[in-house]
Formats: sequence, structure tokens, C-alpha cells
Amino acid sequence: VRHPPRGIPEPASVRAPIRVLIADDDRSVREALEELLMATPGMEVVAAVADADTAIEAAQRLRPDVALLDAKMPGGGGRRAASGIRQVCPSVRSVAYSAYGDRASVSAMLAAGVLGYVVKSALPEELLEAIRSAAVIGPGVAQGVTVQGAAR
Amino acid sequence: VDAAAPDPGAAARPETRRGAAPDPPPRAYRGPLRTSGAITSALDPILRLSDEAVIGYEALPCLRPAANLATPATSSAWPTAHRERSALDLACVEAALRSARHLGGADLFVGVLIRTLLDGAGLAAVDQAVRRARLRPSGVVLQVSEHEVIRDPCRAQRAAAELRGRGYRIAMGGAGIRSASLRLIADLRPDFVKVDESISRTIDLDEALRAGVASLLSASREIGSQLVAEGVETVAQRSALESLGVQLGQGRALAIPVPPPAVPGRPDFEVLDVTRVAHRKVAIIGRTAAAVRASEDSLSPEGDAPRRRDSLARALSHAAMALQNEHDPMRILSVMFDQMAGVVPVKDMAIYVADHKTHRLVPVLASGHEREAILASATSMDAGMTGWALAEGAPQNVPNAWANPHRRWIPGTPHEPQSVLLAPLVAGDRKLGVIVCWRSGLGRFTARDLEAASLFAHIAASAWRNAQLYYKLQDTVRELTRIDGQRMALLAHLVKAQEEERHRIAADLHDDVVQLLAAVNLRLQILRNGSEALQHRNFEAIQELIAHASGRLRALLFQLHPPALEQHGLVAAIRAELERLAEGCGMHPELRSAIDREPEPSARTVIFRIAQEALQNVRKHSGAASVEVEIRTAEDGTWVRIRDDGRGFSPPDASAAPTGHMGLRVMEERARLAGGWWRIDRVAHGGTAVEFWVPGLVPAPAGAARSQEPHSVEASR
Repeated sequence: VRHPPRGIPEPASVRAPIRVLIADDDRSVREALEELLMATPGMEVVAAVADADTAIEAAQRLRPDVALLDAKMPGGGGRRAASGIRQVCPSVRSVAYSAYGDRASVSAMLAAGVLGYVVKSALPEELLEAIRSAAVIGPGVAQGVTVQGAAR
Repeated sequence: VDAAAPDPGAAARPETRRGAAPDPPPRAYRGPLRTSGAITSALDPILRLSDEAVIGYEALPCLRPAANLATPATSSAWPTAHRERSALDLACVEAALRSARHLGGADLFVGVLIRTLLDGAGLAAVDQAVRRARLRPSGVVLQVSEHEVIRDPCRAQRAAAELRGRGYRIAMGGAGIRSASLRLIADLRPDFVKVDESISRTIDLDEALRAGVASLLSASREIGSQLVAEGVETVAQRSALESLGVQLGQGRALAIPVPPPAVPGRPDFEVLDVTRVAHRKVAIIGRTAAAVRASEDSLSPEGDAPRRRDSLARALSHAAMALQNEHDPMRILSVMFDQMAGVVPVKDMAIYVADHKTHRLVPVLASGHEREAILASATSMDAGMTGWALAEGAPQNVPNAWANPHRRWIPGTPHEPQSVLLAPLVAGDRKLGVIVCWRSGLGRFTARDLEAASLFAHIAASAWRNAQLYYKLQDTVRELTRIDGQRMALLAHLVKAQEEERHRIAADLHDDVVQLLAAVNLRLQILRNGSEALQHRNFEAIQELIAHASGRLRALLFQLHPPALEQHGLVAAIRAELERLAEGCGMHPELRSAIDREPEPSARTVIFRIAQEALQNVRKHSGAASVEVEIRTAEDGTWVRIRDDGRGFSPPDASAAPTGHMGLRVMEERARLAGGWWRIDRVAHGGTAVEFWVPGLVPAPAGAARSQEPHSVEASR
């Protein structure tokens, strides 16, 4: 049974699939993300990497629509990955995917240039929606995290 | 004859009764007095007033104290018969000459009856006695008393010429109290004219006496003889005599008479009094303690006593203030040294410190010409006069150092006559040291010096003790501050360690469990939407993830608090820890346990934590191939030893930074706070042993069996 995603301009199926770069140092999460996105219509995984440097390099090379970045990973974490990607390839939209939901972690990532921030305890649907939002409208913050004064 | 008030008439008796039957002498004293050695001599120093140099000693005959000691009463039986008296006179001369052994270069004044000298045989006997005693006649001054009435001036002149021919000098004693004195001075032309003590005694109060002494002085100058004032007892008398131009004197204001050198077995004897018995000055000797009181009574009649006490009081209060201002137990000795010089002025002084640990008296400060030699020689605490004074615990006035049985003397070394004043420093029951003062010459310290030194020693000893206690207190405060600082550092370390532990647990939770659950979350979404094949695969993946997560959680919980400790007891918990350790780094573990009773819960936690920390150290630092844990119930507590065969540990240097070896300190502190002990040692063949004991056992159940773990247990898998 498929539930049409909420708040996404219709029809998604007619648009080209959203090309997603996954960066997460935990293998089990990385593999689960890859399988989930591949199984989700309208999404496509262009690469799954485990650290910031590889993420920046892959973003520059593959030019994904969205980079899904773990906040805490080797090579400077999601923060460095996000700012690096914005520098080398401004068209790529970054979304943070993190175990931490505290305000400091969120604002650090937003400051680094992510358009969305999803905590790992959020429902997977919310993650998918955040990816779609980022791909379509740009700035947006996932549900499950309250970010005060985050508008830039 | 009454010793206290000599009868002037007695002098004339032998002369007036010439030819009559001699008085029978008292039987009891006939024998002993003739026996050689029955009579001994005290020595009364004669000083030059200008510089207090000793120019000679007057020998004062006294009876050697028999079993019941010499008192004036024994002297009262002095023989009066002529023959007896001549024999006795010679005995007295011989005794005087015997006493000259310790005089150095000073002259010996020997009292002799004029009658003995007028008799040719008597003169020859005296001369023989001097030569027998191996003395030079030039060092001997024969002192005649003018009590004798000489009828024939020519005989006196002849005798004087004879004596001078043999090298002797002559002194005339008791000048100024007999009408015949001028006659005798003229006949004998003595080298010394000695003014009688009865004149010295009131010289400061009586103008007529002063005029008389002045004329005597000018008469002496005229014939080239020197005037000696006898019996100078007060400072006022002394200054009155000095202002008249008298240059020599003797008496207690200048020096005290020195008792006979050898009173066998009776070192505590001293001269109590100098008096006249049968025209002869004699010394009355008796016990010291009585003598101190007696001399103090006789010393301060009226006159200048208040003034003298004033100056002593001033010096003492000055000393007390100076001592109070010094708190350093070593520096206070210098203050003591300086202040003592104001109380008893001497050139030669030393302070010895009693070192009770080594049982030695250590010289710390000294002055005078023997300074170097004194400072170079520490002595045993009970050796010598210093040791004797310390043992007595009371000040000692030793008028003749060489006659003191406690003196140490190297045979063959020269010894100058010397007086010593010893003031032990005693505070409460603690004997801290001794102040020693020397003056050259015999009997150079007076009762007043002894009193002053005694008071000063009391003040100085208590000030010194206070300084010591003050120093000790400061030391204790410093030590407490240091310990407090260590505790604070330890506390900070514990807080930091706790924080780090929490941080590590948080990181563990994030890295393991949160990620695993996130993956489960994502895969559940696939399970919901994905194809059948996908669903099947994900189902298995989720099961794996959950199993993995719960495994990690269990490990984490075990680290936080091993459930085995409560459920299965200390040994089981340590065994689990040991196995975990062995699993981690492939070490060979061994556990020996002989626990009769489980430690009580709080003790158990402490023991487990210390063991855990020690095992962590083994894992991190030792590089050991095997580790052995031994646990035993001992003395109402639990004893544990953890030994490895690793590279061994270097014992922490106490002065090293307190933060180093903090893990060790934490272990030690844990054990100590629980009332036990802890230590770390190097093992003989390399490796380290941590050993500790913590008290507290659960109450023994009635009829409890022995150990649950009686045997050695091999903990390896």
C-alpha cells in the first residue's frame, strides 16, 4: 500500500527521479538508507559514502540533487561535508540526518548550509519528505525538529 | 677556741705561758690531724681588680670531711698547745703545697705561723716541704698572720732575709687590725700586705677606714709591696677599694673559694665559709645545696643588693623579650647565646643541644679561644661534665674543673686552672641542652652568677621549647594543607573520571545502539512498502540488528554495574571481569579464592572497583602474559592480591606531580576511606603486585559452612 507523500507538488512520477548522495559512517544505517531510497519511487541513490571527504568528492563528481549527510562522521562530520559541498557544487542541496536533536547540533548544521535536518528517531516518511522538499523547494526543515529562528 | 668568734687573747697565750705545762690537746684529734692527708686545702683566688686575672691562690686548710663531714664544730677542737700547733702548722703547709697541682702559672699563698718561721728548724722544714712538693720557691708566697706578737724584731728580720735568700716571697695577712702591724711590716718588708676582711667589709660605709687603708696603701708603696684586700663581698666594697687605688683583692664578690680537689666520693662539697681558727684562716666545707643557700644569705646583706638585683632583672627581661621575638628553633639558639653574655659575662661559652635520637650532646654555638675544638666534638649524652649537668637537670657551679670527677681529660695535655658554670636547658620534663661557660682560674663564678644562669636557663628553655612547638605546629599545618590539596586533586580527578565515563557511555550509545535502532527504523519502512523479496531480506536484517543492539546494551550495562556482584557475589564478579579482560587481550588469567564469608555490600563494591581498576592497569600498561588474582578472607575483612608478569611498575616518587599515578592514588584512597589499606609492589621476577585489604564482612550465618569457593579456580575458558 502506498501513501502519496504529503505536500509534494504532483505528479512526482512524471518528474525525473531525485538523485541522492548518502554519507553515513555507520554501515548498518548506510545500507538501510540505500535500500530504503532505492525502494522508494522517484528516488535514486548515486553513491553511499562513509566520510566527509569522500562525500564532497562524490558530490562534485556526481552532482546529486540532494546530499543526505550524517552529522557525526570521520573527516569533519556533516558540518564540513555540507559547507564543502556548498563550496564546490552550490546546486546540491544538503539534508542533515543525525542522532542528535539538540539546538546546538541543529544550528551548527544549518549554519553549514543544510536545508533540512532530520533526527534519526523521526519516522522514515519524514526523512523522505525532507529529501523531496529539499529537492523541490529549497529551504525547509523536517518535522520532528523544532528549529527556532532558523530562517536565514 | 670558738671558730665563729676567734678569741684575740688566744694569740698571746703560748707566749705568756712559755715554760708552763702545755695544755693537753683534745685526744680525739691528735692522731688524725697528724696523719698525712687528713688536712686538705681549699683555694681562694686572688684577682687583679682591673682585668680580673687570677694572680694567685691562697691555700686555706680544712679538715678532710670524714664520714660525717667537716663542720665548724670539728675545727673548734684545734689544738692550742705549742708543740701540737707547730706540728699542725707544718701539716697545714704540706696540705697547701699538695693543693698546688692545678694552679698553672698562678702563685700559691701558703699560710704559716710566724713562730714556725722564727724557729730555724721550722723554716728548714717548710723549705723542705716545698722542695718535696717539687715547687719552685719563687712561685710560693709565705703568708704570715700578724696576730702573733713578735718581741724580737731582729729575729723577724733575719727570718725574712733567710727566706728571700731562698727565693720565697712574703705576705702579711690580716693587716690593719693589730697595733703591731706597722712594726711587723717594717721588719718583714712583705711583698704583699693583705688588708683584713673585717676592714673590707665596711670599707664602703666608713670614711675613717678608707683613710686608714689609703695610708696603708701609701706605706706599702713606700716599701715596694702590693696591697691585697681580703674578703671583698659586694660590688660596693669592690668599687670603694678600687677608687682608693687598691689593685688586688679576694672574696666572694670576685671569685668563690675552690674546695679541695680530691674529696673522694664527695663531689658535691664546696667551701661554705672562710673563718679564723687559732689565728689561721681556714675553710669550712660542706654540701653544695646548703652552700648555695648559705652563700646567698651571706652574700646579700643590704647595701648594693637591690641594685645588683635590678641589673640582673633588666638583663633577664631583655633576654626574655629577645627570646620571645624569635620563633625559629635554630635561630633562637643564637639569640640565647647573645643574651646569655648579658646575664653572665664570659668570653668562653658554648651551647650544646641534646639529640635524644642519637643520645648525643651536639655543640651548636661556641665562642672563645677553644671555639673550633668545641664545635668539632659531639659527645655522648651522659659523658663529661656537660652530660652530668644535663642528667642533674640543675645548674652547676664547678669552681675547679680539673677536680670535678665528671671531667674528661686527655692525659698529658696541659690544663690551665678553669672554672665552669653549667646551665642545663630544661623545659618541663624535656632536657633540651646545656649552656656551658668557662672562666680561666679557679672559683671564678659566684653564687650570683649561678643564680643568674639558673634564671636565664629557665627562660631560655621555655622560649626554646615554645619555638619548637610552634615550628612543629606550622609543620603540621603545612602537612595538613598538603594532604588537603591532594584530596582536592583526587576529588577533581574523580569528578573528571566520572564525567569521562559518562561521555564514553554516551558515545557508546550513540555509536552502537542509536545507529542500530535508526537502521531498524529505516528497514521497517522498507518492510511496509517494499516488494516481497525485499521484505523477506529486510526481516532478517532487522532481527540481526536487534540482536546486535541488545548485545551491545548488555555489555554496556555490565560495565555500569556488574549484576554478578549482587547475584553471585564478589568472586563471580571478579571472575567475569577477569574473563572479559582475558578475552580482550589474550592474557592467561588465574583466580584463587578462599572466601569464608562474603564482604558486606559497601565493602564488596569497593573491593570490586579496586580490582577492576587494577585489572584495567594490567590490561593497559603491563604487557603481561598472565595475571593472577587471589582473594581471601582475613581478619574480619577481605584481602586481595592481583599479580601480573608484565614489565613491572616504577614506584611513584613522593615528590612527583600529584596528578601522576592518579589511578593508583584513587585505588589507595578507596581502600583507605573504607578503613583498609592498599599497596603496590614490584614482583621479584618482573611484574607488578597490587595488594589490598578492606574490612567488613556479612554476619556469619549460624553454622555456616566454610567457603563457597574453597578451591583454586581456573578462570580461563
